Amino acid sequence: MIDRSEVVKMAALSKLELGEEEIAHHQDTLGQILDYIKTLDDVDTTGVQPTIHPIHLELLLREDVVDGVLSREDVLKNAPQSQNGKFAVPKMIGDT
Amino acid sequence: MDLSFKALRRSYENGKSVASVLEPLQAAQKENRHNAFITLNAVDYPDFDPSKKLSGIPIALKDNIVTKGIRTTAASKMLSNFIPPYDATVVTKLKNAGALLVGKNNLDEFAMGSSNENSAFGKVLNAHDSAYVPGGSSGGSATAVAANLCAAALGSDTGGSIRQPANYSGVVGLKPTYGRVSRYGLIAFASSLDQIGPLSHKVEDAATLLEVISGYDKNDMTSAKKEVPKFAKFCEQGVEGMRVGVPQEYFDIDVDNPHLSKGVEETIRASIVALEKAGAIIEKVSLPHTSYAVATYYLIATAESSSNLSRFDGVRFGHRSSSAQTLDELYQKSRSEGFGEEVKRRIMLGTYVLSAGFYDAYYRKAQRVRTLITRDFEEVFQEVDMLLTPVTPSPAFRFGEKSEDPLQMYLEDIFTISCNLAGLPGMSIPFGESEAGLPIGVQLLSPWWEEGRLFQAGRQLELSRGVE
Repeated sequence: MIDRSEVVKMAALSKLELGEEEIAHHQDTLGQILDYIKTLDDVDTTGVQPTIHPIHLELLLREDVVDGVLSREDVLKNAPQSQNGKFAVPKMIGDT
Repeated sequence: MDLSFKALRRSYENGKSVASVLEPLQAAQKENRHNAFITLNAVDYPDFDPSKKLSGIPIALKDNIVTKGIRTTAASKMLSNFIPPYDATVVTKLKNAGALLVGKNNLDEFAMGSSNENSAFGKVLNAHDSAYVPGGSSGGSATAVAANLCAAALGSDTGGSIRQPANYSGVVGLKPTYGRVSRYGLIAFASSLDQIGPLSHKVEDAATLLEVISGYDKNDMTSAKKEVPKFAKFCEQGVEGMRVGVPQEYFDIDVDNPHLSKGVEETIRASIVALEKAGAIIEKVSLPHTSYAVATYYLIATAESSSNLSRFDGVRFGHRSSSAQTLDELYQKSRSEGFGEEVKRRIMLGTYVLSAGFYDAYYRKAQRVRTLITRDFEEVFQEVDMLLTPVTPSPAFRFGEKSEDPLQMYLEDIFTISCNLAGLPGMSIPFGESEAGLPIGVQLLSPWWEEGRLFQAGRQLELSRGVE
């Protein structure tokens, strides 16, 4: 179980709105998971390099030419709202 | 009907039309008794073209692989109306090889789950017994193959999402080496772990499919410039002299390791005997960091997913809330309405472990343990050519059995996730049955880029069970 305030903070950072019931549920499940994750504290990782990527990749460069660009029309087909060939969103500046 | 690639090819060579093979399959796909499909594709019936490796072969795709002009949902309300403007690289490759793309398979939302109970399009039923889960997250793909609705399917595997449902559903499932297959057009969950791979009736079909979908792709900078071997040839090579390691940690029981069920233990023992009989040398080996894999995985995978899923903001594509007044509300409401519970949980956990004050203690720590887990494999592969392990501690479980307890659900992945953390190839092959008649598979893991060995041993296991 973690504090209600922690779940609220996690949700805010994640841009999610949670109802009271959801908050209570996540206090419980996220609490259990975070407890479990603490088992990693038992591992001595002094001097161990972190793995960011599982295989060693050769960094490949390409010619700096544009290709395979999707058309504006195709891209905007999936937009919830568009105007004048651009994505449209509600007014950006709120009252706060 | 035998839907293995060889059998289909033989029928076409003997003059059977593609339509006569496809029509009954399409009728069953339409009926969708197991809810394995979210969207069906209108397929026309081309003539058989012997020059193409997959001519006339009906293949299904997990619905997190984008298809131009065909709705791709990731089983999420967020993408319920998304029609991709381009094809994933694997889709282009399948089309070029003559495959018929019959439809899009159900999955756990954004590939997050082990039971296929997390789909916005309803759960998928196990093809062997509808009271049981098919596994996840590629549950629809595994069921579509197991219920004989297609010849094979492509799934994606981030922590076992191909091998575990293959195991629960009695089909072959392969996760290739990280970088073997382009991820371009795979809706990203955890980018350092995700890999696309085949689910099929036979080991040889998985090998053939891997040949088709592998290779460097300029659109995926993490795809590797590696030669693609003729994988199917390995199926004929046997296992004489092959050193097969059995990691003891996978059989030891402690608080973190759920008990191995009797059926699983017996299946593993039988598979060891079968390989030994065929000339393999079995050795006990150790992977000492196994018990830390689940914790490591759920830190890294959720951190990466929180970043990947930040693109779903209601602006450019996907669900947009109709009640938002400001931009911030647009983000929050669109995401809250569009994502299901498990996806929200993982985004929150991932955001938390990446946040200021926790990054080093959680995320950086997990990356260091990931190095130790990888080192275990590097060391063990100095001694043996391959590993043989259970796929999961138990066969398929019943609906609802674990869905209220996410941690128990995560622990189900104990034997499959190390492979993703290390980037190794792994395969699940059906080999036994539980008392309730549910399929049980065994997992083979090989060193990086040595998928060929999986096909050698996998085919040997099939032969020992009398699979043609």
